[in-house]
Amino acid sequence: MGEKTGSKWRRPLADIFELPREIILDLPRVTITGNLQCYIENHGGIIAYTGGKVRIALTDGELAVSGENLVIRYMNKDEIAIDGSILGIQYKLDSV
Amino acid sequence: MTILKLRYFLTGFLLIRITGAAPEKFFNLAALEGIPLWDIKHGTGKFTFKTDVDSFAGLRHLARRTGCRLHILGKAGLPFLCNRLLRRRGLIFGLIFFILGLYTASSFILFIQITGNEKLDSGYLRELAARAGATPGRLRRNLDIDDVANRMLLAEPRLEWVGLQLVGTKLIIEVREAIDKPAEMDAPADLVAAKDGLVTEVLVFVGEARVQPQETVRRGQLLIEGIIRPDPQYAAEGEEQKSKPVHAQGKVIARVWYEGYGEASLTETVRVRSGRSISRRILCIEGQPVLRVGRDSIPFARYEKVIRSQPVLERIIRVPVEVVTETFYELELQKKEITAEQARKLALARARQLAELQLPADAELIDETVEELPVQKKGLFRARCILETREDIAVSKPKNGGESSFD
Repeated sequence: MGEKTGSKWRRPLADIFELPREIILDLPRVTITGNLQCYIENHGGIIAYTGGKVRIALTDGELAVSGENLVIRYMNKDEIAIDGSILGIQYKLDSV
Repeated sequence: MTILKLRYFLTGFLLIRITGAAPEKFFNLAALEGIPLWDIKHGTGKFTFKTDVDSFAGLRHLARRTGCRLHILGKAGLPFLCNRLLRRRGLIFGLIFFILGLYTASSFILFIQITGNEKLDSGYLRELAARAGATPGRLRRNLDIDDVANRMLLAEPRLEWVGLQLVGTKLIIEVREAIDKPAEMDAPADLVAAKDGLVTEVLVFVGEARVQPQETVRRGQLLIEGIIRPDPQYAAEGEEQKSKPVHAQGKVIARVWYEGYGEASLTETVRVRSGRSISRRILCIEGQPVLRVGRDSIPFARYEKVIRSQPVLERIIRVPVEVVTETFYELELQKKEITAEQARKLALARARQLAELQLPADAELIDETVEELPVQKKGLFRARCILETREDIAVSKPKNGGESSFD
């Protein structure tokens, strides 16, 4: 895939110049505050949402946030903030 | 986000329920279109979310494309709140009434508190303040704090200092009483007359009386001499009989007369405002004039100047900023014709006023004579008022020629 070939030189580039990897490699940036909030930047939209699980599309796979009473506090093109009591975060990457 | 929510609160937002096959798709599309969605919650078979009012039209379009149905559950935010509020006329009137009432009530002095007095009675000071112009129920604006303080100081010599402070509707009058000079009871002193009068009673505590009742005395005359002479009857044998100077004490009650003279003519010249006035405004910062608006020269021959200062944003700005308004009222000399009866009354009133001004605060008024003086010039009435009081005229005067202390 194009992304795969790209990452061959992109990764050293990010390492050498100390550039933010999430931008160079187009990765999500996930920030978790305790188990209360999960903040995801650079996402690809919601795949499915229930009170117990939120599945979020990434450029290269998906991220599942599971927990209880999950509420999407805020959502726009680049960011999603999920509130609730978070129990787990799971990656499912196509490339692996 | 909090700031954004505040913004949406100001512009108004909607609580929407969405039902359909793929609400997730709807959310993604909305996010892509840049429509803000927040508080997305999942209930049984339905989702609720919040969005701002302006985006709703766009959302409808998206819902149709994704096969979802939107249902507005609630409207919130300031515009809806205002709408609801505006519909309640009674509430608005009540609010206006309340604010006006509060404003009106707070522009009066409602309470007067007197602090700092030790010997003087609070009730008496209250009365004194009332006479000086500070009464409960008076408009705050009309109260001249300096004037009241000065009047109180003039009216009551036992007050050393008076400070007035307006705190809301409460006027706090803080007084400092004059500390009595420690009576130098040991220093030899005589009692002398403070003013002219006719002695009616002489009461000697210490010393020897030098005046008798029914005697007229002049100011400065010796009344009670501070001296004790040993009685020759009890003198020890061979001992030199020497008189001893003491601090004289006693009361000398005398009738004192105060005279006032007044006159009034049939044509009284009075200065009246003609009705024309000009004013200029000066912006002062920390007492320094900064900006002057208005003309410099005054086109009136005779005028009266009234200065009012209005503090600006007193509680917001630390630096005292005030707008001083100087108003010049043109004055006209007007000859007012009054009747003989009116002129006579005016002369009498003036005479009495002058006499009253001389009265000490604690004098007991026993007689009052108002008499008309013979007319010398045609159209001029003259009157004299004599007030008679009974008062203690004795004041202490140190023997060694020191300063006399008037208490």
